[in-house]
Amino acid sequence: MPAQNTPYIIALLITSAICAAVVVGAWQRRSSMAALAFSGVMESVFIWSLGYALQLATASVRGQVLWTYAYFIGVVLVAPLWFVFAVQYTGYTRWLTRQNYILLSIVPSITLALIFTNERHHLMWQPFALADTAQLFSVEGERVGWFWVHTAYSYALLLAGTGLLLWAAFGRNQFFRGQMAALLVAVGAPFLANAVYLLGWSPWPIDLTPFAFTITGLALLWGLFRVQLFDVLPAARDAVLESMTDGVIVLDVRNRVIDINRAGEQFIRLTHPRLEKIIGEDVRTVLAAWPDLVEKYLKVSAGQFSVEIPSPRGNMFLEMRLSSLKDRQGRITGRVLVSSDVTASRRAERMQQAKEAAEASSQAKSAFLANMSHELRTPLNHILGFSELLREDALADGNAAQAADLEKITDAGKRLLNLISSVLEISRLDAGMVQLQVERFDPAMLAREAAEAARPGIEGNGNTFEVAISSGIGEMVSDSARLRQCLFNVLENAGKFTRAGAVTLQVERAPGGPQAEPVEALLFTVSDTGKGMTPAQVERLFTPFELGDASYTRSEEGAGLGLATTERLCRLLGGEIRVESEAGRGTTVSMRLPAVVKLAEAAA
Amino acid sequence: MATILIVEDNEMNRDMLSRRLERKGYAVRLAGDGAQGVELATSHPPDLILLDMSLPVMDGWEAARKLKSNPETARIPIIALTAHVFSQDRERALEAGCDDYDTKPIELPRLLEKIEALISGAGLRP
Repeated sequence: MPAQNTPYIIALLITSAICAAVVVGAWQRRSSMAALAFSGVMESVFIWSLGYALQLATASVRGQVLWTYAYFIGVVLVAPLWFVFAVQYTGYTRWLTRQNYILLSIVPSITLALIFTNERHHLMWQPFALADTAQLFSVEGERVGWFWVHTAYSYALLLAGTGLLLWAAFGRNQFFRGQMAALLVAVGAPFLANAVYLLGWSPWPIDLTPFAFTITGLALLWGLFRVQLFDVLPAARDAVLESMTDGVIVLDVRNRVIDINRAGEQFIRLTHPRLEKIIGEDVRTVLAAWPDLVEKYLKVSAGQFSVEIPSPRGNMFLEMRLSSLKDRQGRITGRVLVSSDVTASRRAERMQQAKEAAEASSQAKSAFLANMSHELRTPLNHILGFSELLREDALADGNAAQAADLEKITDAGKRLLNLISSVLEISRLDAGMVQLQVERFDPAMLAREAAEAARPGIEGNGNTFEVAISSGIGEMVSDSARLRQCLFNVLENAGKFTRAGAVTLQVERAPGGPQAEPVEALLFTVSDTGKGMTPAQVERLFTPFELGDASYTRSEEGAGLGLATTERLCRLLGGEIRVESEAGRGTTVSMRLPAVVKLAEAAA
Repeated sequence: MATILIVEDNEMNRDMLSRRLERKGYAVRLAGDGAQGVELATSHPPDLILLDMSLPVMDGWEAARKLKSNPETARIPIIALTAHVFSQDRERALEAGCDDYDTKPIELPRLLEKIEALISGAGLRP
């Protein structure tokens, strides 16, 4: 071993050891693509520095030449791998197609081929000669032809890769300044050293480039273990931040905005459409719409608050979370403000509240009506009782005219009483205070009973009345009293609005139910040839106190509660009511009620 | 002449009902609350009791239970009266021992039918 080479050999071996350590470190993080390329870069440098050390450690000229060829494998591969690493690290992996990989490897392949055949054509180096000085024992060959092609190509790729990294460092956010500084030191040092060596400005006799890679290795080791170069790639982090629907604003210790993502910018623009730039601005300028909040949180390290942004399409609600950014020593280096758009959920919440309030108020109204109806009945009972008493007196005295007048009071009182009872019932239905009395019964018999009860009213208006009950409609398990009431209401209605026409009641068993589920049901259909209704009238039919036509109230009795009550009862029985009508032609009301009431429906 | 005890807290109802029943030939006694009603029914047993259910001091259901558990008054028929049209009231009244049930407002012919049925069943006529 040439003695004068010893210090350089030791330096180069230290360099290779450092490179090996970096390779191992990068390999452990190889799950990220850029780490793999990076480990390739460092392997090349390792080959370079170790090969160079072995060259200098060899005493024979022939041996030194062969080691030179060997370590040039590393020299040739460094630049392309660096370029690939830079492309991956900055997130442009879509450039790395198979075709581009092939294009990229053309020059290095030729270079490698020429190196190992150099002695036949001397296209890389002129024949090597020994330069044995007091400083160094080393072979040297004049660099010619393809060597400069290789050098130019390597420089171009190194510059391109470095440019990409620089562009990423300044074009993007400032989260990763530590990483970027490490990378630039790492790549800058060998550049400088190589240029110095190739231009012959070096104060030492050997190529300083691998030594400069010591710095590369150290800077990158720091990058790997301190700044966690590969733990979260800036590209990935950028993509996440940009695609987030939450706005992110990063403030430095002096409360300037140093980074903002797209969503954050959008919401700032909502309040500040003319703000030219946001990055670098003071937070008091950027969030000028909320001076109070800014003042309150200017020196607070963490907090949570909401803001409302007026907008023509309804106010927007943002929930803001403020937290501080700390470095490894726990010093606060800035703060991050995350804003989430909670407009949709806030609106839903408000609508839900409004709905609940409306329901509560409707229930309170119904409960009030139910109580009120009860209170109204007591004095009315007195009016009815005493007018009855007086009528009996008048009849006993033979005063027929007075008796007739008193009977009118009684009749009017009775009608009022019926009305109050109906109001009471519909209020109780609306307030959910009605419970079903479920029992097993024969629907055919029930339908006949209801029909007979309604018959006088129907036939009294000069109508024919036909009842058609299919045979074998079976039994029903439901609330018979409620069902009878529904049938009677619908029949009474048909009779009331039909004169000199026909009313029919049809009862049949129907498969399937009102919903998609197959529930056995009974179908009660009442058709008349009466005056019918317009579609608008049908629509309002189930609203209490609405008759088909308000003007009917003079000629026909009723407060319009019958069908509204019936509709609610049908729903309570788990079924539905349908009305088909045509003005002047008649009306068909069909009630489809489950043969067996489900308890859940009965309880509802 | 059959005697009917009306237990009713509302004075106007009491007055009205007693006058109408007197016209139909019944002797009427009056009580204003449940406790008074039980006392009067025990001291002067009537042929029938018209018992309002919502009463002060002692309500109709308790009064009915007391009357039906006392052997001296157990045989007196009771018609429960209530303003509530809800069927659970009817069931509760029958459970408490009432023999029949009617709702207010009173329809005299209907009530008379029930009174007559119960009194004739007990072997008495007005």
